[in-house]
Amino acid sequence: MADTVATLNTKTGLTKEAIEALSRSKHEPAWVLARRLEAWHLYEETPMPAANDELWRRTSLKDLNLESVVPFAAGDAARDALKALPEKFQQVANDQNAAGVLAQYNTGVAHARLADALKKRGVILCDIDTAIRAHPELVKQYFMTQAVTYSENRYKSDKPRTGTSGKHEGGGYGDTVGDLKFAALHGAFFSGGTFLYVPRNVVIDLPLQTMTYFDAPNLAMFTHTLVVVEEGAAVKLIENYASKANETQRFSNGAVELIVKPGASLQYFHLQDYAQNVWHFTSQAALLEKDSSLTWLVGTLGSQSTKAFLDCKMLGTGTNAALLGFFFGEGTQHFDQHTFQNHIIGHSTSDLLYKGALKDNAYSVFRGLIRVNPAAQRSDAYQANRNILLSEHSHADSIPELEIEANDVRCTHGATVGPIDPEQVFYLMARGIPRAQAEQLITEGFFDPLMQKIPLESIRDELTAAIKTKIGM
Amino acid sequence: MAAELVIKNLHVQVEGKEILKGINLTVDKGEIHAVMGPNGSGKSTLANTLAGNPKYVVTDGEILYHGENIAAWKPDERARKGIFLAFQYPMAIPGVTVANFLRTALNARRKETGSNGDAKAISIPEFRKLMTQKMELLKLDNTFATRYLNDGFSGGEKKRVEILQMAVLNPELAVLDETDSGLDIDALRIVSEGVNALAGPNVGIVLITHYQRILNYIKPHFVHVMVSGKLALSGGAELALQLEEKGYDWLKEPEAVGK
Repeated sequence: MADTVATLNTKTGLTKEAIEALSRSKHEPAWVLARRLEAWHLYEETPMPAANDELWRRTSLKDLNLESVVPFAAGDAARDALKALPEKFQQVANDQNAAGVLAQYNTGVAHARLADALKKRGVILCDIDTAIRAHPELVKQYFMTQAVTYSENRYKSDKPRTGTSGKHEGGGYGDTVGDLKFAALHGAFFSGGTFLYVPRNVVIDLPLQTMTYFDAPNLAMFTHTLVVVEEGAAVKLIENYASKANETQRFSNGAVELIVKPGASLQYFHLQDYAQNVWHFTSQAALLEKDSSLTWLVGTLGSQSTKAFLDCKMLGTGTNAALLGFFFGEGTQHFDQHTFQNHIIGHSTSDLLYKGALKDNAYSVFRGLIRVNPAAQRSDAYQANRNILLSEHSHADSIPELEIEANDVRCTHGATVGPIDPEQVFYLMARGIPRAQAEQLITEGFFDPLMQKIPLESIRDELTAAIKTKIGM
Repeated sequence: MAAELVIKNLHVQVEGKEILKGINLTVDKGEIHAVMGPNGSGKSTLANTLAGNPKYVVTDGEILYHGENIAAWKPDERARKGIFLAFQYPMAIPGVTVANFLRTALNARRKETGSNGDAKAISIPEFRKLMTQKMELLKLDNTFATRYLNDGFSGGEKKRVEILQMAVLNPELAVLDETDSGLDIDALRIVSEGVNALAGPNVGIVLITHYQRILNYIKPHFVHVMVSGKLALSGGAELALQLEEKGYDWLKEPEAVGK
């Protein structure tokens, strides 16, 4: 492991020079550097989100330290890097129930495997750097051009509205930075990550999975996931993120782009369990074309602070999206998540369920926007956010927002925040189960329906164990 | 030896309101006691108090179980020591399968009761065998084992699963709180047969019901009538028939009649 660390870049700071050095070290073509610099320019022009920005008022950035971060690690892919990953990842990497695996250690590929039969049919599973070299036309077409873009601010609205009381009243967020600042920073420094391309009509039964782990001193992670599922194709991708516990603050700034073509199907699982010193920013967006379907599950267990923007654009009729999330905060963890069910065309269905448990002093925000455009008649949009508070000082805010501009829609939303139902606890205790164990069973059960969606037993078991540890009763 | 259950002058409040106003009842092993009475008379309060529901506060009197005052016992301790309540409204616990729940509960009880080898956790095959056998008794499809507890169950299914729990946990004192309510005639027969199969010389049963109907299937040794938080009348099985004929109104305090 020592020989991998020796070759790391250790220059700190997010600068234009750092971007140029990064691009050079990767031997990138000129168009990639040009895009990075364009993003950097936008980053510099965009103000840091402030406390009076509607979308940022619940997440303070005053303790975020960007000066000391090392933005990339050059040439660190050691041959036996897989051994540097946590043991559980090593086991998962060898799980034969996955049709393909991609493991990343710091910013280098540690392990890559894809079933030969899939390679022959044109399936591509590789890191973004490799994709730029081997499949530039695909990357040029899709990389931050359609899903997560920073040319437009998806959140800015002409119709603000924070009333005189200071309370947001729906109808747009007004003059907000949205995710522009960090999406642009990501566009400037992206490194590593996942590129998955599934050609027309290729249906992959076994799931594919990736693992990203980092431990290099002060290294920031800018992982990018780009998934393109062509017409009639079907695939399941599970992504796992973790890092080594460390006392100093770490920075992660990722993006995920999911492009689902007509009649295609994607199940995407994004499971983040970073150490609790990581400040994690992520912009994720999915585009659903006609008759496509998406299951999109985001699991958040780790990080000190997570700020997530998750946009689902329903671009065609007959689209169907299940947006699922679970989170479990402990200590002083802070999770602030924005979801966006964006019905641009009608005859489409989005169904969202986010479930969270919080203990100690943990805090979560779920802010779910449903927007139905005037043209999106016959849209069905459902949203539910359930939160269990396991301690007196934990806190959850749940903020549903509806912007419905069509008149023939079905739309529901519901939110609950509260302790475990004492009647449920009594019921289990009345069968001899001690209180702590009863609460543990109920909390595990609360997450179980979401766990059952994950198509790989080894990952389900890992997550269930992680949740049990967090419950810690 | 002390009787299974002795209730002396029991007074209970719920949310500051006195519901039970001096109940006296003795139940011995092998006995089936029916507690009948109109809605709101305090029958479910008695059941919940015996199980230790924290919402029900004992303000006077005592409950002796095998001669021990159980006032300080938490609900789980009572259950592990053999007190079982079949709930009138069983709670759904989404995400927890019937099998997982039952095995956890059984292991908790075995830990308490087992003095020698029995104290070990039950092996999974052994548990499966036991559960399958008891599910057959309650005519429950074996898919119930992997369903989430009471989640989306019909009223009748919930009541059968309550008796399934009783069958697996093998209590010494079973309190059945309106287990017959909401059951159609077939479900009532299945549930009653289940209870009869579990009744015997080693278990005392308190059968709480509004209707005489279930007593066609389960024969009580004693019938008590609860009115306004007191047992107004006690007798043998024939008392139930009398109530069937005359209703409860004649037992109410004069000012409550016709309300």
